[in-house]
Amino acid sequence: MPDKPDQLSWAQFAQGDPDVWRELIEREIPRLYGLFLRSWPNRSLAEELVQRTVFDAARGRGGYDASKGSPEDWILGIARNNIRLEIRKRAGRPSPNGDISRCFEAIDAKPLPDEVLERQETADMVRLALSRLESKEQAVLEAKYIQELAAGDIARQMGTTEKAVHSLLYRARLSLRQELEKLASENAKR
Amino acid sequence: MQHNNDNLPRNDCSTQLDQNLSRLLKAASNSSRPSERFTQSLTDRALGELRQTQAAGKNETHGASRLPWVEQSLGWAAVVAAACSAGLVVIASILLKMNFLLQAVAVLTVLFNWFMYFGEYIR
Repeated sequence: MPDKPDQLSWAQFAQGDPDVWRELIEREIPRLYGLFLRSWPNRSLAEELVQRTVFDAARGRGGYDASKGSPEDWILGIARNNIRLEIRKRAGRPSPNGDISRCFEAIDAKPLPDEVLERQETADMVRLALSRLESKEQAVLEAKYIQELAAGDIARQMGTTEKAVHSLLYRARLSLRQELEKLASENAKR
Repeated sequence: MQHNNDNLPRNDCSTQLDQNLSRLLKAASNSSRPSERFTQSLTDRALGELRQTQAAGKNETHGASRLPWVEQSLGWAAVVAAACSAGLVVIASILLKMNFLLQAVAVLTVLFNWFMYFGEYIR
């Protein structure tokens, strides 16, 4: 891990020097991601909050005061503020009642509530649904949604064509959706 | 983050399904680190924004130093143009033997149009 920036770099940080910022952002993203993930076990939300924090910092860099601490501490302050804002946002939002099956029924129409995504039950259900898919389907879904690879990269990784990846992805999505709906309705009956 | 590439039709439903599946799969993933692609993409976008704001700041500074000169010249041009037009309207209305109210309306209309024109230009 590289050393922390010195005083000169801090001044460059406030001025928006791209080299200093690249180094800092690349170092801070995993740390911020971990911080948000500890608050809510929700990777999509963690990504969203990391993104918000980085852009807040980039836009507000003029307000950074080196005498009050390092840029890392300053960014951490912004991240904590975003956590507070998220807590406030959640407090004003009705908690989704009922079983997960209702949410899955509208999976192609409404965003799934964060609270549903954060349930252990949901994670277990997704893992079980994935395990019921063909290995190729599992691999393509992981490459697309976890590793966030482009179709071309997935095709190279799997030794196939882009067209084949698109069609495999289409089938994998349908299968996953069907398995999820099946599992959710089984759960609801119990 | 969504990166193009699938063969679902691009309507709201498919996008929503895509987003929800992405969120569900991430929820089920055990990794406690962001993907490389996410890190790379966010870094690039943040640096892009920094460069953009820096460039905008430079342009603003450059524009600000030029603005008083441009404004002054335009201001004088507007005054001269408006005065000449008003004079012409007054002469024309006298020659055409228009009544006072009509003269006043014509002069005010010309002045108003000139100021609107220069006002838009300066803005």
